[in-house]
Amino acid sequence: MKRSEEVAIHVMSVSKSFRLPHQNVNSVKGAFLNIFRGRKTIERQKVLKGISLDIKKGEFFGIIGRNGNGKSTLLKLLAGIYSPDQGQIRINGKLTPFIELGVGFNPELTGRENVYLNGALLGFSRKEMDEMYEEIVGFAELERFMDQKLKNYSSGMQVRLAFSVAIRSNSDILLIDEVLAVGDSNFQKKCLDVFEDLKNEGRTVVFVSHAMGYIRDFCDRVAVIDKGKLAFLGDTEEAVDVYNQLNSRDTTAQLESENAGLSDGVKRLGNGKARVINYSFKNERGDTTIRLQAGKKFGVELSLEYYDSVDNPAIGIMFRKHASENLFGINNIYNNQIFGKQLAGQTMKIKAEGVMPLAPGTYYVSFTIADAKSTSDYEELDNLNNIMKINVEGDKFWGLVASKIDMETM
Amino acid sequence: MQIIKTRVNYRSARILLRELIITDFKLRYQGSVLGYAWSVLKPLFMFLILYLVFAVVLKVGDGVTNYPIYLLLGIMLWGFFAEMTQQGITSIVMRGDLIQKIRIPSWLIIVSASVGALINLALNFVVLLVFAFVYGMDFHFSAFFLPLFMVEIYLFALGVTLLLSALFVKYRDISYVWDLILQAGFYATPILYPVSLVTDSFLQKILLLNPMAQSIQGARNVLVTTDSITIGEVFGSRFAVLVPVFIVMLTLIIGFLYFRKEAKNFAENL
Repeated sequence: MKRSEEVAIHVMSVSKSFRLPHQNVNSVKGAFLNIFRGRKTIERQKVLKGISLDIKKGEFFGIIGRNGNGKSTLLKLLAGIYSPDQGQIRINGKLTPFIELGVGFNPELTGRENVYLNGALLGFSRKEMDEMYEEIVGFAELERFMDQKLKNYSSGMQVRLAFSVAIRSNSDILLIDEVLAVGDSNFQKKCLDVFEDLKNEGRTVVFVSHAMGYIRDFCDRVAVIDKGKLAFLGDTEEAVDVYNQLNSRDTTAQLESENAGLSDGVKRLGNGKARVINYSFKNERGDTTIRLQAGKKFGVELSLEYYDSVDNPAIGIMFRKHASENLFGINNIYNNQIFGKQLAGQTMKIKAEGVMPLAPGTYYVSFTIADAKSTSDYEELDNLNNIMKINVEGDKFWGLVASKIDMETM
Repeated sequence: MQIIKTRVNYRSARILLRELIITDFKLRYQGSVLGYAWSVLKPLFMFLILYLVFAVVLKVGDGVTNYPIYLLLGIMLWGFFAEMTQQGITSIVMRGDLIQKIRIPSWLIIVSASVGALINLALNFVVLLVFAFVYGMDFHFSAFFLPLFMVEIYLFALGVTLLLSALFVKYRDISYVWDLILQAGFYATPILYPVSLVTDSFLQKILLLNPMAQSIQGARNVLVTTDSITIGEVFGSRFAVLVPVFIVMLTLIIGFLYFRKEAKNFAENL
């Protein structure tokens, strides 16, 4: 990869705001009413606030950020679809006009006709497209379907065709927004090869994605956009960290408000001979939180109250995905810990500790108290079903389980 | 404040325009059995009705040589103006998917929409010529001036389309308002009735200041019959024609300037 110091895209303190849609005057009547009322205060929403960055020639440049924070607006500004309110954007070289695949595809035209139409959007004449046609169709693996109307294609087929045309672009600077989301793994592999080629050819690529794996694999530098501002610009690994932090801060805040809703609307099951009065999760350092680390120590603290005598209390914790899919549940009886008979009026504090066995994600938690008459006969006393959600973080695991396996060469 | 300097690449604009026109052409009568025959059948049917009512029953056309051809040419030219503006006004919004996702010169969309109407006009014109031959109409050298009037109508329609299509992005009432104006315009323009039926000479003058009236009367005069009263005859001066031509130019300039001003915000206002 050749990386020169020459700038391909120069963005200088660019701001962009939009009129809020509900304020939009969409009819002549509305416009007249506004004139008579003398209303001139149109509310504008600032989407980008003074973004400055330079993208160098030959760079594979990533833009990441959570949804609604201005990534796509920035890309549309780069593409020249929007014009900035303030600041300036200078493009040095030929830029693809696309930001999304399959734009301009018409369902009523055949695959073949759409290829030519899409090629024209890239600036290729019929003659030039004639020369590329076989290759495009071959790459998309759609030879047998080209004379069918596009409306009969599956969405995967449409994306394949669109991608195959788009990569023909001979522009110096490519803008790519979330392409790898569709297509089977075989085709995704092909896309990755194309990316590899683009990188080796030293073309400038601006890549917007939520897939941190691809960002890590390809990007030389990454910008993190948060709330319309540049939160970070530079090294890919650091950028991904910043993004993950922003993301989980966001998730946690959201979960906390959800949890408030869950506990307000609690519907207790069980006969009420005992109650869970208080519950909280602790992280490794012992702080109360709902942000836990996969594969790291965590704790649960419960306060219970007994209103009737209970011979053999069984206190259970259940983790679920999607409110119904049991992932992992445990109680003291299974652990061979017997707390003994409790009398009415007694209170009890329980501290459970362990290693978080779940992979990163959000999970429902339920707490139960039962009277274990035998190993199979439980009298349900209290059940706080899906009473809260926790957010498990970490990025070293796939799937649902966070388990370590040692590997070494033999 | 700075607008991105977009180098208009005329080669790619030409290529794209061509494809957009081809696409429109293919899709236009998609799924209809008669297809492009409709673009001829529609004005012919209109002609038939109007001819029966106004020429056969009410006899308004008496005293005009070649009245059926005269009427057909008027209907065709008006139909072209109506079609081009109606299609053009909604074209920016209809092609919103392109404008919101690709950097594309918006005027390409307006021009490609106008080509559809031009194709229809050409088809209709062939039919008109066949009719004229069958009817036994004499052609004169003056017919060579006909394209001038067509260019005038095209430019007028283009000016109106540029202005109203940009307004339509913000105010969706525009297309309904324009439909009403077209309806009124059809009767305010001497298409069915000869100008001589209007006895008030002041009203005649007002009538012919309308670029559509002036150009249709002019086109008929050079192609069909000198009975067609032109603006020059009404005002007693050739130079009177400059007034409607000035209106056309003014419409075109205002339309162009407003469209250019609004075009950079189309993507976000759609």
